[in-house]
Amino acid sequence: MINKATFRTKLTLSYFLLIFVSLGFVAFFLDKHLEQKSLSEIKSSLDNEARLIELQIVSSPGILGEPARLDRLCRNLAGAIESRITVIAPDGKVLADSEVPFERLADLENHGSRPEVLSAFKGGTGAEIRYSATLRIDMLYLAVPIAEGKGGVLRLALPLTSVQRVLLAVRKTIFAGLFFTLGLAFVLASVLAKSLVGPIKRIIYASSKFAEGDFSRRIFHNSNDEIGRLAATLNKMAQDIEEKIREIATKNQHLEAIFNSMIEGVIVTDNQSRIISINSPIEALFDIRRDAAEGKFFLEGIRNSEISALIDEAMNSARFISKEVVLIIPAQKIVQANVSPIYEHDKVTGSVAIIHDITEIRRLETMRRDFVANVSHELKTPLTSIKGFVETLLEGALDDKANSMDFLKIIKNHTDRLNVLINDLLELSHIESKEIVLNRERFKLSGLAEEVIAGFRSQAKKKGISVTSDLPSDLEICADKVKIEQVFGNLISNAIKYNKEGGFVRISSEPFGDKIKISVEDSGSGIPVKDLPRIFERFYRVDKARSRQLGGTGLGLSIVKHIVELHAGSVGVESAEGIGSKFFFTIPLT
Amino acid sequence: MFNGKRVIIVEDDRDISGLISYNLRKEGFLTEEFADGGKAMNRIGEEIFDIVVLDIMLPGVDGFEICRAINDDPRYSRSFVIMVSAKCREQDRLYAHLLGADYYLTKPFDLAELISAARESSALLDREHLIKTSG
Repeated sequence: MINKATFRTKLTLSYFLLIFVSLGFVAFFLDKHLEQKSLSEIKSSLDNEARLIELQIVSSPGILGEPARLDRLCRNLAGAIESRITVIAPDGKVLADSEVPFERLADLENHGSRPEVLSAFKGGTGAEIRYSATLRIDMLYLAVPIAEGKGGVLRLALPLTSVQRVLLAVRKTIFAGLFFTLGLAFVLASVLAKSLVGPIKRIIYASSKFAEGDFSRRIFHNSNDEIGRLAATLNKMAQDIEEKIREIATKNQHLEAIFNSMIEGVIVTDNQSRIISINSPIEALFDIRRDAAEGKFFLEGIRNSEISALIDEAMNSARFISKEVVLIIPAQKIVQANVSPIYEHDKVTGSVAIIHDITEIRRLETMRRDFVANVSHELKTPLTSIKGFVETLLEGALDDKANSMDFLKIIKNHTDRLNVLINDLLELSHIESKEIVLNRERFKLSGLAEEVIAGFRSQAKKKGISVTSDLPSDLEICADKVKIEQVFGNLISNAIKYNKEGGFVRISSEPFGDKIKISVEDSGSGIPVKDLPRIFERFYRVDKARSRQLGGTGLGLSIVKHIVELHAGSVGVESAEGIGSKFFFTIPLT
Repeated sequence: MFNGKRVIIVEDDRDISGLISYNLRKEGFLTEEFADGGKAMNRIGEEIFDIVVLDIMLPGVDGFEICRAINDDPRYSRSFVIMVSAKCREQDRLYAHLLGADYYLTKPFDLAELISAARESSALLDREHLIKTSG
């Protein structure tokens, strides 16, 4: 019960108990003291009165022998001192009594055996408090010998009701004082306890808030006592923790920002291979959602056993591990996985995997390697012919009149081809370098087309091919004229080369949003569907032998594509085998 | 100069093919030219040639494939394969030899080298023939 009471109640009760006990003792002894004091005072005044009456009796000679006179005297004196006066003869017989009628004195029992009377007979003063059977109240009896006992005993009796009344009055005062003081003490104790408990309550409230994680609160205190110091210490602690938390939060925000802005994918796991966090590149790479994957085991969240094995290996061996991994699901990718174990006090507690998508790098590497291989092959083939035929001639074929002229023509062809190839390569490398500056100017497209067509006239005539332009005469574009001329040149050249005898080449245009779409259509052999997607690639040829024979380098369409894209346009092709092909490109009008 | 050895030339560049053919004919070989790998394979299946001159990058079936087929063909156990290619990496040369090529010439090759390879093959074939007929 007391254990459940609040500190304030306990404190109040302690104060109260302390005051109660001390005041109780004081009241008790005061009461006793006052009681005795008043009794002895009454006794001594009764004694004095008795002495005076005894003197009166002694100084009235013969009165003891005259009962009626004695009785009168007693009655008179008793009325004056408000006490009962009894005169007892030495034999114990009552001679006179102020309260008993004279006639009935004889009925009274012998008083000689009463303790106060006995001690008076012995010559002293006898006093006793006794219940009077006659008057039915507590009485104070006091007896003195008359004429040193020779004349009997004089006894005075005072009802104690008056004494008790006095004592009661005194006690009432004391108790009233006691209760008033206790009441006051209770109130004061309560107030005092409250003022002591108040700061403690504030500390309790604030620390419960700290426990909940709210460190923004401060405890108000204005004293420098123990409680004040406790509050100050708690405040300091809360402030330190708050600062630390803020510091950590800021650091976390920085890390989070780095984490999410990284191009590389990051996977953090614990030592049970559970995913702690992943960033958005990982979401994209594995087609998963962050909130769905985090918290799961690696293989549940990211279904890649190879990376999972790398993470396990890194944690088991406590070593950095780097390996190239080929992903098949959800998309074919090549990634570089770098896995580091995370240490905490020399113990591996998890891992960080950095997943770098190197698909594009590998693709570019492959492209570059293929390009170098292609270039060397393309250069070596004409060189082989040139060297071979020169050596053949040197070895005696010069005298072979039937063939030597043909050999020389072949040598010339291949030299020209090498030259064209090198020019195309330089052109391509120049266009691809991104440093190229287009010399834009406004010009009439139809005029340019006619010029280019005129250049191919003799070539077209040989195969009986008609080359026509349907371009509107007022169609103007703003572009690099020399480069667009190259585009037309390459497209028209191809259209004539791969055309059938007596076929046609038609150049036309149609609006295409804010651009113009220009098409070069031919009636050639067409391009197989499987070759269409790769037709603009460098050195890609539908028919290698035929292309070489016709003097193609395999770079023409690639150059076309690059030039058009430099002009923010695009290229495309439609073809039907045996019917013809239609190459087109778009160019912004402005 | 006629030695009568039959040579099949599988080369998609018509000029190079013609160059090899002209020079080998001058040496007395009988030549046939094929620009397409598949067609050459068919021809090889039909008849046995003493020497096969092979380019690697060919339309249809490539040179390595043809070389492997020849190596696996018991009828061709005595024939010689001369590979002629622009591929100059050591690994291509090794691969060609693994597949059973006897000579590997990189383009642009020396004409003399080609002729000596053909002559050497021819001489070895003759010697083998001699041992066989005399023994």
